[in-house]
Amino acid sequence: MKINYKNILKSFIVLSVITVVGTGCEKFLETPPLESIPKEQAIADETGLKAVMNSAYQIVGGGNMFGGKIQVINEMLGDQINGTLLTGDFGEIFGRKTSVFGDYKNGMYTDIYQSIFRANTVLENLDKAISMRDNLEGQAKFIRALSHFQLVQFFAQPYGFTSDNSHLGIPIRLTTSIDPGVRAPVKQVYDQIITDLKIAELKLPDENGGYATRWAAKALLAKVYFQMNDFANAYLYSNQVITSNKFILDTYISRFSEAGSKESIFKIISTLSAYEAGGELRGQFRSDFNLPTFRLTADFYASVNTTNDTRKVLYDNVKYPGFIVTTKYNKDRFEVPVIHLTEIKLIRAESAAETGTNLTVAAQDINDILARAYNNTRSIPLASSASLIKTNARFERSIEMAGEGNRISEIKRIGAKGENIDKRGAVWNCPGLVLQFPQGEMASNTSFQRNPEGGCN
Amino acid sequence: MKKLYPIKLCLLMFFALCTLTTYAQTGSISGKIVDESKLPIPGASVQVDGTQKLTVSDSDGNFRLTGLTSGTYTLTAKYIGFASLKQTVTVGTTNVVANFNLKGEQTNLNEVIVVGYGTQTKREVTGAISKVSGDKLTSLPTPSFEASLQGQAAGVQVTQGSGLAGSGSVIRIRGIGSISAGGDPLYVVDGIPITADPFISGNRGAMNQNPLATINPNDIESVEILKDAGAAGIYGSRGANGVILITTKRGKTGKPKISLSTKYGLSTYANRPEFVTGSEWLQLRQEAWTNDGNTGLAPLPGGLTLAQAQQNNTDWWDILTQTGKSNDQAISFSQGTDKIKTYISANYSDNESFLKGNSYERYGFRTNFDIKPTSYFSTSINVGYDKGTNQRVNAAWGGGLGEAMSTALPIYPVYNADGTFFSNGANPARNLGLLDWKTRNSRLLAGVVMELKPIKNLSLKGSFNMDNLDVQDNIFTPASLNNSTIGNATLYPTKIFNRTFSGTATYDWLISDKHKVTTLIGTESQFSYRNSYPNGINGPANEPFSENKENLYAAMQNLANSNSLLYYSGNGRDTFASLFARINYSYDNKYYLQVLARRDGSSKFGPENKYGYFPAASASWYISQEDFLKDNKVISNLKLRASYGLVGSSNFPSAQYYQQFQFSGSYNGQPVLFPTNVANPSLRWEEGRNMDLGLDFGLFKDRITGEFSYYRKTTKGALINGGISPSTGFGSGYLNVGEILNEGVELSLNTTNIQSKNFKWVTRLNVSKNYNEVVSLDGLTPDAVGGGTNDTRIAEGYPIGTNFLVRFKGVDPNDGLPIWLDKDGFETKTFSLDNRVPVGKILPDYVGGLTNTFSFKGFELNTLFTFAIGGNLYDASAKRQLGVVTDWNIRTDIANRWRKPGDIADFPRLTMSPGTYDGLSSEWQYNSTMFLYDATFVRLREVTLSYALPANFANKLRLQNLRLFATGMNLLTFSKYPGGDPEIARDFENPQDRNMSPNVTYLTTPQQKSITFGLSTSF
Repeated sequence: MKINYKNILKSFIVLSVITVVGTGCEKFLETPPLESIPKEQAIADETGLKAVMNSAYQIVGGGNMFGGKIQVINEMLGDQINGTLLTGDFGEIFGRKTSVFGDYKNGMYTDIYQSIFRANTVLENLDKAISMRDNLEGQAKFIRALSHFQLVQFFAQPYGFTSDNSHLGIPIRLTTSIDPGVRAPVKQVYDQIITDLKIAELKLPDENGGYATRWAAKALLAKVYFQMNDFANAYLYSNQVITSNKFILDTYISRFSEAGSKESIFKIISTLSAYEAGGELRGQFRSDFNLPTFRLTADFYASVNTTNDTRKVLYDNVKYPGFIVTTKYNKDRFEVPVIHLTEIKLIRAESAAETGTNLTVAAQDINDILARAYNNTRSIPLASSASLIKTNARFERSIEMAGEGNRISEIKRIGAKGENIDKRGAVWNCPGLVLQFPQGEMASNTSFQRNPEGGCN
Repeated sequence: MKKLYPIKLCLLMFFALCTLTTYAQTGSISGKIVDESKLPIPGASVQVDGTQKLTVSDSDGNFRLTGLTSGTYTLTAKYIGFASLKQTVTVGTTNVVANFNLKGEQTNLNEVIVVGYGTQTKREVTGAISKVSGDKLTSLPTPSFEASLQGQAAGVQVTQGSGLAGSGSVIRIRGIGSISAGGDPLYVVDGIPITADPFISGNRGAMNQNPLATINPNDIESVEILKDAGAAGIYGSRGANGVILITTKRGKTGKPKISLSTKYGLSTYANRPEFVTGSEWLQLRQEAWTNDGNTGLAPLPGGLTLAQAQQNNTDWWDILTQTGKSNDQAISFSQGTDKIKTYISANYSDNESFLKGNSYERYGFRTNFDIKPTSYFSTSINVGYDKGTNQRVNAAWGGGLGEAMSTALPIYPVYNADGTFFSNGANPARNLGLLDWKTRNSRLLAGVVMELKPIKNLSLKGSFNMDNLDVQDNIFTPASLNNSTIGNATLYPTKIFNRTFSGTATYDWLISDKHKVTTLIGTESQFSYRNSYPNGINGPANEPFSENKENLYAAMQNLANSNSLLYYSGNGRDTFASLFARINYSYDNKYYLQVLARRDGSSKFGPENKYGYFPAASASWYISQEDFLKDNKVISNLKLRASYGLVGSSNFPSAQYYQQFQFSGSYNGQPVLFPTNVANPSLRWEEGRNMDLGLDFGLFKDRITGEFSYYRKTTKGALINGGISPSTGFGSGYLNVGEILNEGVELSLNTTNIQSKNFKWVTRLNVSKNYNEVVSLDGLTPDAVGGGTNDTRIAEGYPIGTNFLVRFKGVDPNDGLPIWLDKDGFETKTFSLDNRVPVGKILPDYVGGLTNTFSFKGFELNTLFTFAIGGNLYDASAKRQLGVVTDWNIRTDIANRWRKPGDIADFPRLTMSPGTYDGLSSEWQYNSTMFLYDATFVRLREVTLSYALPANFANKLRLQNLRLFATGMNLLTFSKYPGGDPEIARDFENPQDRNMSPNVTYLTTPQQKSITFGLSTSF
């Protein structure tokens, strides 16, 4: 074996040079990880901005929001779940006495704000948009409003708790700056939501390839006004959505289906393997394989277990003796409707009844719902009284939207009008119906005012 | 066969060189080299002083030097671990016999110590370095080599993870100086700073995949632990947590030698918590139900009626565990001549843990060559390869044995009446044989070092290294487990590449007999990145992706179609460039001074702090060399050393200084680009200011030797990942705000208690005390850092990992309700999280190890006790196992509970509603001192009985030696903790959790207790 010393020397020198160059070169130290794209590159153009906008939807549809947690927490706060065997975080939320800890709730809080941060990132960089400028602004404001709306309902006493709604709401986030959180009054939060939605309503197109549309903004406005017990505006916007004739009532089975429902006005899209929406809903409610964590009350089952009610098939009291479970979510994959026509029709009907105008329209809305629910065996006269319409709207709503996280909003909204409807016997404004803020808010801002704690009954 | 080529080549060269020996008509010297017990020492060198003539003793200890012209020669015989011996002989024309009887040395000041970028003799070392020899690392069947460091070195705290195959340990050198950044030491194998990140696979299945498990302990010659700025300072911004230098075995001069070792072992759990039986559980639940004022039967979880529940008493622990079996085989080949030295090894091991379905099977190879073709050039080529398959099981919160300790109740059956698996409650038995989860790790560690000596005393060294780690996490859940019509397969492939280039120049300047200066200057650059699919590859399948590539491609195609297949070549990339220098000055073998400095630049540092400068100075003084002590009868060695310097720690992720966006999955089939972090342009390393004072001593001719050290380390700018309002949308962000103090003393003591002809008793003790305090947090409150799985906090004036809990005073005998102390120490019966105060700490006061070795003729009995004294253990699972009666298992300690007025009890009245204990909102918030325990424990970590066959008998078998042994690990544990294993390093979410939550258990799998039998031999 012959060793060529010249080659050894040469390679030694070459490698030494590499080492020295590698060490000395300033550029060498400016090699960020490929996955970590600096802001100026990430949002260099409209494509980047669209991808950031899309990231906000990823959160809104994710497990911590409409992928399930929002519905699940709402159901636990409501009065249709039999939660006597719930423990841990669930027991705490069901018991209506949340504390500064609790990862389930706190994770939701941070993620809802993350969707707002992403929407704000889009809004702060709209100058990068070209043809999509209005569309992206509308979408970002829609998402920001939707998220603030969820937060204010969870973490503050409802609209109407004080006469001027000066009671503490939630931190409003309109920029991406990293500041300590400060709670704004509830009125200010609702004003901001409405301002955002009114801009979104103008800027968004009729059709938007699965993203928020003008109709989604209007439907959300209807929901927001309805929650404020502002029935004139609730009627106005729900009526606009319905008369657009873009949405039609669909079968119950299609509401949570892979193919989607014709009544969805804003929905979370499910994509095989890549983004399967509703995982948390399936995880907590799905009942075709084993007894799910969430079971319904006997009282609720009695309300749906009546002659001719076709919605009975959505509940099962046989498979697990002694337990009532829903079959609504018994599918491997489905889209999650966030706002659907059934709800908007019920808002229009009840708003009409509350204002005493357009009662025929309202009665027809009720009949549309009844016809589907009872297989055309039930209806109310078109000339029904406002109170009959209201009673029907509220009753049907309690069944139509069971397991979708709506009931607690009704308990609070109707409570604010002076009527306690909670079947668990709590007063609508008892402290425990408001979720507690995460400890992180108090830890980063010692003057942050947390909610009073205490059970409800 | 690429691997065999160098072996062949080497053997050829070896034989070629052997034949070069010639015999001339001159005189010769021959002899035999033996040790104190007259056993031959093979491989000892014998050199003729003043010449290049050198030979090595053969397997019988015999040597022969030929070709000597007549005259008088002085011979020096040397062997590692023995005092070198000189002998003068006069040679004529015939053979002269000169036998050497070498004496073992306990503190050999000429022992070679590996330091950063070089070696020094023990005499020259001015820093604080502990050396652990390789044989200490192979004696115990630990899941990974670093666990074997426990109790071996002062100031090194090793908390072994769990009994899960391949699990890692938490190692802290002289306390902990980081909060949110990694507190682990830097690991360097043969000069290669290796990937040791325990979070490559996050915390999947409640286990942190440990990359150090790919290092083969059989290949380790020694481990040096650099503890102070004088030693670790040369590693600059990575040295603050200490440095662990691993040196692999190399070929030794001498005849080819083959060593074999084989081991077989059996294992079970070391300690376990005890739970009530099914009928007891039902009684307790009924008692809680009745206490709550209810009548009738308590409702049961799992959809069971009382009659159904009464039929079961499932022992889930028993179903999930087994007697573990391990086997470990190693073979190595070593040979060496002046020109070529070779070390080749191969090993295989299979460790089946005591958990059914859990194993780590690995094999590895290593070839280390040292080639010195000329007097001015030499090169070393080191290649190590290891491939392991870890058969995973879920643990802790992930299921498996964790469920057996929590939600898998004894009243649940394994099967329903129709033979299908029970699935209305936890059923960990379902996974057995169904869940197919394999993590495959392979690692290639390779390096080339070239050394050029162009002139006398000048050495130029260049080294070029690579560390490729490939981790493939392959999870398959069949349809039946998945509650679905089709199974699901997931693959997380990650390849981590790590390249290091370094160049050093060393010049020895012998100014005079007494003055000596050694100068080292060097440069190093490192580049590491990952090729990975951050979200993995997931899709429907009926077998694992590793078994069916078509399914894998289909899943990738499907993800790609919806813009959701994410792959990066250059993920987590970071670059690192340094310049460093070290000057050592010595005077008259008495005074030693070392000054070093390093400049580190890193792509992780923000533009405002791109480079860090780390100077350190250290000195030592051999007092025993001074005239007044020179002939002292008692003191044989006395050395005083001191060091002070700046070191850094930069164990945090890349790209945190700017607002970064990442692609992640998709929505609506469109790509998603999202903001990931809170930017901090001034982000920098954590700065440690370390001071060390030490005294090394030897008494009575070194029958007693030891080291005593005092250190004080202050970390400035400790990183905190927190303090951010969650309504920003972020839970945390990196801020350099903390100041931490670690102050402590260490003592290590080695004594030869009895030394007679046949019997020897040696004791080694090391103990260290550390005081840790978070001096400043810049005004942040204790809850600013925490969350996740942490049940500990940091607070100004308290140590890292403070138990921040409501104080439990006792149970009111009248009503059985708990009595708490409020913030001000007044009794209250209302539980409030506002009454949490610092009440404990997870850090022990003292840690250490006590080794006693008794040898009698060929027999040796070695025992190692390890201990941790002081500190607390928080049992985060106990609040569910001993608190409100829910759908969790209940520990037998509940027997001591309140039942009727007047009862004096440890635990309050049972209830099914947290609200019974006024103010308690949920079982999870039941964090109180009720579940805080004294963490003190003493463990019989190792007991080994071995027998070395007499040399002459071994020789008859044509073997150089033969050693038989049996080792017991963790056979005894003494602790006050009733809930299982008192030594806890649970699964961690992130480095912060790892720093703050050792000694917090949450359904953590206990360590193993094992017995191993084996033999080792060489020929």
